[in-house]
Amino acid sequence: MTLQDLRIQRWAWLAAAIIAIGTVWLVLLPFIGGQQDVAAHIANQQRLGIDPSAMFYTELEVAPVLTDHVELLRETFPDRFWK
Amino acid sequence: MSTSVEAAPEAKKATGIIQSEDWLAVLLGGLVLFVTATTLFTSPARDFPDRLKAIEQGQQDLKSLESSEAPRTEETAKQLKDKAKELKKLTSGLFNNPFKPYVADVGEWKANPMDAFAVENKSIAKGLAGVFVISVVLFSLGSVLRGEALFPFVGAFLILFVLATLSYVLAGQNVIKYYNLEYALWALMTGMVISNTIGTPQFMLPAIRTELYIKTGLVLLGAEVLLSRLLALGLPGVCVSWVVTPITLITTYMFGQYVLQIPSKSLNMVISADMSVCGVSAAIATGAACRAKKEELSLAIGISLAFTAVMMVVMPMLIKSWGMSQVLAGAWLGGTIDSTGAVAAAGGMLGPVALEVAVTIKMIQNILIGVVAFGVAVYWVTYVERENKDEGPRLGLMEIWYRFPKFVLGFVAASIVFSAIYTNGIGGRALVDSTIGIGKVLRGWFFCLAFVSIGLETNFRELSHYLRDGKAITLYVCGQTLNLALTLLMAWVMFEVVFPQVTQTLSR
Repeated sequence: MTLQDLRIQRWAWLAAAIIAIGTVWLVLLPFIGGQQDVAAHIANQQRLGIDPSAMFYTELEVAPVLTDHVELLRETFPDRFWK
Repeated sequence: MSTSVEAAPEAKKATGIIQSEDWLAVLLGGLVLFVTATTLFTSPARDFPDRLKAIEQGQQDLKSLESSEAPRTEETAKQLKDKAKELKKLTSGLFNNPFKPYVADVGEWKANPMDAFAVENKSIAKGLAGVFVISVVLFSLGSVLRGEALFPFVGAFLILFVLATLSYVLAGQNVIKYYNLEYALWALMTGMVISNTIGTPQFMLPAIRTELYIKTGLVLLGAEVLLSRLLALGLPGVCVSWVVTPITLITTYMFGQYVLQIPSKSLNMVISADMSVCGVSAAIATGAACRAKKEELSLAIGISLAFTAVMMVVMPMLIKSWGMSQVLAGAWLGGTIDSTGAVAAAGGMLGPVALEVAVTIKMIQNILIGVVAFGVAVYWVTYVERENKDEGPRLGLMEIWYRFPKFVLGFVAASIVFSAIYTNGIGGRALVDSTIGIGKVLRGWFFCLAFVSIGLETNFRELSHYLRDGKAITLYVCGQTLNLALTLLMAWVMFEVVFPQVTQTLSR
């Protein structure tokens, strides 16, 4: 195989990878997202304001309201949480 | 190409203190936090005193509503929720944030990827341009301080940033997003597609600064590790998050060393930490602290995300069929599922109380990341590296200091400083929240740039080599099984046996 052939082969692999990724993201995933169970799961998370892809608690928009409420309960009834 | 997260070859050229990647990361991360916090501090809202009074009054109202022992009606619950939201709005507006329009994440989309570039029907072009300018200025400063040529870096960085944006767009597809397949995975894939087909072009090399992006991101992450939040759920929260987690981490690591005999200690540590602490963020922090190889970090993250997606769906189904109480279920989910977002998703499937407890337990566990990174760095410097190099029985303090990954100090310092500001009244809390609001977006971009860089340096064959003996997956499965059992036991003892009054209070 010449250097030129190798180069063509490598670019062909890249093109194939891009086509595969494009097919999955533009065709397959939107189709899966349209299925009843998956759509219901997504709608439920959106309704609750949950972003399941959050890596750390600060990325979770809903976290401050929830954790502040727990902290408020602890401050209001300190004995219950420590003794 | 098995370079470690710590020892990138380019870093070896540098000798001066500011030229080391570690100190540079501390400087750049510290600069972002300092500039953001001081700008916010000098830009209070015009009605700052009035807002402060309104918040104090609102907090009193909330406390009196909560302290009422009367059974909670739907109306009281709604009142509480509205009051909490109003307070949040008032607090977030205490400081004018001039950076907010210039810092943005890519949005989500369903069928048209272009939708990712608008959030709530507003274009994020200004935000993306802002992130690019901040990043390029920051890391160009790094290049200049290291005595490297500026123009090759800027050109290569532009392409790297485009690849990072593409990774974020892939992660923003809503099926991917709502099943917790985080951007780190797609950033790795984007880089690997290029490196394993046409090969990483030479002109990209000046921008491949994995170590610098990760460590700068970790210094920013330090500001989010607020130590006072550790006590959010009282003693039961501390026991579930801070007693079980270290036991699981250490036991899993020892199991990997002595039973599975995993050849790489750093791979063992990164998998043990991401499984027992908090997934990807813990993997990044411990990976940098123990100088894990890039492929090891990629593998640990891949395993963690795959199992998290499954646990997020399966655990709520099992819990429902067992009829477990919402508080116990929330504590179990929060202590076991790796990723914070997936914990919330699983808790949300069970109900509002489970969601609240799960997110709070996970938040407390998130804070453990600082202690774990520091502990791992000390252990690695004093024991593992000494054993590897077959050195004498004792290391001098100067030698420990010389080998210690200094970025960990920046991470810990950011955590201590911002924790102190956070406990300084309502104003301090608002200042920290607004600073973190900017820092977390930039941190996400820096990690994304790091993962694209790792992908650009990773060969499929090197990665498959780690999977061949199946030890990495066995370690994760065994460790997670122990984690599930110990967390359930501790949560049951704490919330059902020792502190049933906490369960009652949370369930009202």
